[in-house]
Amino acid sequence: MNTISPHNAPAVQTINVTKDYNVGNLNYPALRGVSMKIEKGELTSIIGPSGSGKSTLLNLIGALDKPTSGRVLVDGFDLRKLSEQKLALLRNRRIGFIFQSFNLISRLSAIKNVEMPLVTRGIPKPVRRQLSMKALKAVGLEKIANKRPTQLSGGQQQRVAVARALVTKPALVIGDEPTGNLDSKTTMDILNLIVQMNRDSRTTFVLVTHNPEVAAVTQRVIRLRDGMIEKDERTNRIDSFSS
Amino acid sequence: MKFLDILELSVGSLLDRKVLTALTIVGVLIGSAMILTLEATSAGTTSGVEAQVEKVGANTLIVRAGGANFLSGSQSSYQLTSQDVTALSHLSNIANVIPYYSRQVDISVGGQTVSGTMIGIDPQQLSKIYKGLTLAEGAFPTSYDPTAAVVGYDVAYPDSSGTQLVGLNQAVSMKISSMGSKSSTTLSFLVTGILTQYGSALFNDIDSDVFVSFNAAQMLLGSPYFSAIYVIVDNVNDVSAVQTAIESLYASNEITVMSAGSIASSLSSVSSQLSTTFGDIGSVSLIVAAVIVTCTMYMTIEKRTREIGVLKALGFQRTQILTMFLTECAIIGVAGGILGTLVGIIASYSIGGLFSFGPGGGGPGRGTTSTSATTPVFTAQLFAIALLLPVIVSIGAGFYPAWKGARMKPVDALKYE
Repeated sequence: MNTISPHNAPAVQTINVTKDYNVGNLNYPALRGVSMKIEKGELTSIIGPSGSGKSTLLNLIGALDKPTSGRVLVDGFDLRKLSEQKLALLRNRRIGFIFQSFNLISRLSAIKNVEMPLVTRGIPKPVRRQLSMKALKAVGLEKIANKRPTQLSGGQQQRVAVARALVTKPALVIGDEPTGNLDSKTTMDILNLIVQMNRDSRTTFVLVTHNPEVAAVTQRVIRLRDGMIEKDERTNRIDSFSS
Repeated sequence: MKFLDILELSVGSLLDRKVLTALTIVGVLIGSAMILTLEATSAGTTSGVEAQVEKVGANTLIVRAGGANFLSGSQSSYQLTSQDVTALSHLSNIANVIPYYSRQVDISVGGQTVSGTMIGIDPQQLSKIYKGLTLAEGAFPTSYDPTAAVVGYDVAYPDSSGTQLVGLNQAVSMKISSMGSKSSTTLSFLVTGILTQYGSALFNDIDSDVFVSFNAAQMLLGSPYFSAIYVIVDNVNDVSAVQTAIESLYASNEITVMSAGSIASSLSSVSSQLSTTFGDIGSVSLIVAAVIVTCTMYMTIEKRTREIGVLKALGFQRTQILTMFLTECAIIGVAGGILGTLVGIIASYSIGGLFSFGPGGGGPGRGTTSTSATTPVFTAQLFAIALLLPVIVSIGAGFYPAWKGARMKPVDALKYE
């Protein structure tokens, strides 16, 4: 039974986590005993070469998947003990996601995309409209609220995704290669936005990336190799990244 | 999650793939329309035939000459004459024995000549055979008046505008050609009565007939052989016994005896079988609709696999995702059911004319509206089936792919390309 109080619990903690995948008759160990702790308010990056297990680790932290063994705790909640239903609730209330390919729903407008985490909670339309507009304003996109993703640039789409991730005021935001599909200038804009959100709201960010420039804006870099933590170090973070 | 939000999301996703949605609705619509059309037309046919049979009365028997011997394949050459009338009259429980002639004739009136049916029968007996048959104008002639005729309503008023072609005291002439020869006989009659609109009775379109006295018909046709004999039984409970008594007077293939009740019973049985067959056809079409819905949902859910992953990442529950997909199926079912009902109603009336029951002939200037065309019969139960069954079928058909989609692991769904 987890006795850690949510108030002083780390944002994320993994205890000797492993994850194996069965590929045909072969067993592929994606993670081999990863233990780490990310405190609340940290801006952390997880880097490593392809196949190092960083996306797998992110999926476990984001309660999108379950470990083969070990424990994953998010905001003090042991994910092992939660049912499918409770995991969905946890994702809705405590975790925000930013994906590499934005993953906006193309038939919905920007503001409706931002509203989606609130729709599942049954929040009345006027309230969620207000909250969503506030989130769009925070990312500087209130003017394109009614445009569809296909009418937006890559950078704008990712900003909408950031707004969607933050609209529920989550404890943790997870970004899986959040700038992977963006050009260098847009990458800088998104990174600046993330840094600003982290600083202003003290939201914990965990970013998976293979881009050293992204890692450079984070306070802490966890390097994975072959499913294990190779290095875990604090950085001299650049507060803003400009061209 | 509010139902209106589910509805909005579901409608939005259906509209996002308009063509696929429309085609799926058409598949469901066809099933609904077929069920409604077939059942309503079948019920209408049954109702129409029963109405015709009821007009004659359950205590009426029809004796016709001839009956096939199914073993030998031979057809009897027996003919009905006044001797048969006498013999039948002596049976117990008989109220009336009414012989009649029926023949296709050319009717000339007002310069026009059309084909019609002449019925030679004692005019005073008409109302005993055809229940509720009354005169709109004039009077029935006496039993032996050789010059008088009573015409059906459509003979006097052949078109829907109400223009009268034949009036009281107007002359009509009827020409009958002898079978197998070029000779013909023509007689003129004075119209003494015009019948009220009646419709068909036992497949005889009364409105298009011209009734003359028995003697006049005999003179016109020059034949002692009757077309048939009506036998009216005292009590409807004695019909079966009287039928047996009549049949016992003759050899097995000399006559055929039919009762209105037995015709109604046979027709009811045929109708019931038709209804079952039509119901099966309708069910097959709904099964096809179900397959279409299942295919559509499989395709849709596969295409939206990543969207399912995103929704799960955002915190949507399995049941919420399932409900969204099933709501899409329900909307397809509702749309298909409503449109299918509308199409079914139109189709029912359109094909009603294909199932008309009537003599095929007509009086002078016979109108375009067939009184014997089938009018479909719609019931609340039939509408409920046509509207609700597509919804149930759509939801049922879409359930498995929706359930599978909702159960997908978010991590797997998000990886889907």
